[in-house]
Formats: sequence, structure tokens, C-alpha cells
Amino acid sequence: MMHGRIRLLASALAAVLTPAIALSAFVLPTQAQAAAPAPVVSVDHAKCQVHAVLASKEGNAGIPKELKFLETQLKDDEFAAYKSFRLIEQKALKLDRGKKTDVSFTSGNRLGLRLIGGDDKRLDLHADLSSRSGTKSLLATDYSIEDAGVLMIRAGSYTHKDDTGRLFFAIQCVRSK
Amino acid sequence: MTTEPTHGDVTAQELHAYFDDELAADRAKAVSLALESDPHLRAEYDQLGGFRSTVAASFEANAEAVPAARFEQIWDEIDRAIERDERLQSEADRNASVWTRMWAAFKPVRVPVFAAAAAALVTVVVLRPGADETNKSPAMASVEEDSTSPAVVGPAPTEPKPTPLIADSKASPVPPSQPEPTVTPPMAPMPVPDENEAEIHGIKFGHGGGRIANTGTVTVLYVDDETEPTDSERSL
Repeated sequence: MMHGRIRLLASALAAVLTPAIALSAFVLPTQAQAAAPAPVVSVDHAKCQVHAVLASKEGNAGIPKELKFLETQLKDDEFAAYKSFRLIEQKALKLDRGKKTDVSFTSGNRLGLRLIGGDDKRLDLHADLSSRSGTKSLLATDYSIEDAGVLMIRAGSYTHKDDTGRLFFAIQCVRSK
Repeated sequence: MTTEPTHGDVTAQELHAYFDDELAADRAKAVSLALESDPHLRAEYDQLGGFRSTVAASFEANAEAVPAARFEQIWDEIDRAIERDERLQSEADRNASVWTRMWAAFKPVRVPVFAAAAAALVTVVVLRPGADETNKSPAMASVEEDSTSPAVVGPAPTEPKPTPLIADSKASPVPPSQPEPTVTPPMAPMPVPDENEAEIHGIKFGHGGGRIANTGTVTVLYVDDETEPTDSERSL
């Protein structure tokens, strides 16, 4: 008799709890997800590469293959006066947030980069560029740009081997782990 | 029927055993002597014989009513039924798996056990921390994986203090903060995104000054030579 009552009670309990289990399994995670705040993006590291490009008004070499990734930018009106482009030097850097990293080029210019921060799409960076002698500052700027976006800095006149033109630094950074 | 002696030292049980010729020889001789000397015991013994004759006569009469062929048929039927039951039982024992036997053994407690399990599951589901609370520590941050924007997961460092763009353009334009230990080997060029517009938050040109050009495709900072330093905030 007692055993029969227990079985009856257990059956009723199971009948009530089974739908509750199924409902809880779907509703609770959904509510938790909806209530969760938007993820906070923190950009703590970035990889950068800097291309030193000599843009010349002489010749007709156009854009070399190693600079094809900049083709859209180098064909912009800002570079319409130049007919030849040459890659002088390429440097890659790793940036840690808040930590300045300097890199020197054979032209004598020294470029400093610092990762300030960023959001889910853009990076906040600081860049400063010295003169070729390294004694003067040509530029210091804080800027934000989309991941892998390129900021061009024209440093001045420069002669590389037989080519004379304007020296540009193309700064490209992307967040990293 | 009683085991107490009925007459002398002969009990009723011994009398029945004697009647069935199942007594030991010494007791059988004693009972035989008692029967000869005790008429009451003899009368009781004779009643046993009469009862047996009556029962036997009844059985024999019924048996004679059943034809011999039918009698054999009944026994054959009984034998086949016994053999069939034994065969089925042995097959069932052979085919039943461990789980089947366990399932059958637990049959009386199945419902209570499942009910308890369901209650425990509900408790776990209700009380467990939310799945999305992983990495919800204030010290943690996480973003979704993206091929072009790799996630950065880890303690959020403090926001670096803004520093003057150029502390003293005449004295030390670009103080070397580090030698170049973090310079890495050249890597493959990265595709430039379509939205390639840099937002200049602040800029200081040294010496000859400069200007900012932004076409939407490219942002160019032009540095002019040999002019006085100029300041520009959000020149765009």
C-alpha cells in the first residue's frame, strides 16, 4: 500500500517536473544572454608594419608588386604627381598597449609608435617621426584608424641610389593577441 | 491422526506404517503380536484395510472408465508441456542481457529514481551560474574571434596616460624610448580595408610645419621642411 502511494507520488512529480526541466533549459540561458552587457573590447596588442616608399616624379615604373597592397592608395589623387614608386625598406613591429616602440630606417628617420587602445573595429595609435638626422621632430600625432588601415606620412625629399623623390612612410597596424 | 500410542505401545502412526509394510522388522513383529492379542487394535487395523479398499476401488473404477489410449495421451501431453516450459525458461535465461536483467530487477524502484533524478536536474539548471557568465569577471574581457580582428582576452591594462604630442620640438624631437628589440621580421602585407580614413585626434608638426590630406581612400600627413612648428587639433 505504502509502496503504491510512493509510486503514485513519484509519477505525479515526474509529470510536473519534466516540462519544467525542458522549459528551464531553453529559457534561462536565453534570459542570461539577453541580460548580459555588451562585451568590452580591449585592444592590448597590435602588429604593425611600416613601408618606406620613395615616390618619384621621374620614370614610368609605376607600382611594384611589393607595393600592390597599396595600389588603391597610391593611385589616389594625392599621389597623382608621382610616376614611380619604390620600396626602400620594410619594418615590422609588435606593439603593447601603452608602450612606445621605436624603429630606425636607413634614411635616418626614426619612427615611434605606441598603441593607445581601440574598440572593436578601430585602433588608437600614437606616431612620431624624427628628421633624418634624428635630432628634430617632424611630426607627432594621435590618430585612430580601422584595423589594417594605412596612414601615410610624407617625410621629405630623399635620394635612393639614382632615384630622387619624396619619402613616404606607410604605417599599417592590426590588433593581435 | 495422532502419534500417541493407541493400544499398548503401538501408536497409530506405527499401525499405519505396519499397514503399509514400512515398519522395521522388530517393530513389525511387535505390532503383529499386539494385533493378535488386542481386538481393538485389530478392529482399527481392519478399518484401515477397508478404507484402502474403498479408495482403490474408486480409483480403479475411474481408471477403467478412461481408455488406455486416452490415458497415454494425457501423459504425453503433460510431458510435452513440461519440456516446453523448461526449454522456454532456458532460452529466456540465455538471451537476457545484463542490462535487461538489471532493468527488470529495478522495476519496482524505477519511477521514484527517475523522479529524484528529474528533481536534481531541475535544481542544477535553476541554481547553476549562467553560461554567459564565463569571463564576466571585471578583470576579464572577451571578444568574438575574427580573422581580421583577433580577439584579445586577458586582464585589461590601465589606459595609458595621454602624453604631449611633442614635448619640446627643438630640444629632443623623438626621444628614443627603446632600442629596437620588438622589431620583427617583415611579414606579408595586409589587405588595406576600404574604410581607410584615419581620424586625427591631435597633431603637432615640427620645424617646417605640415598639413593633413584625407581623401577617404588615404590619409596623408605632409611634413614641410624648415618652417616654424605649428599646432593643429582635428584639422579635418
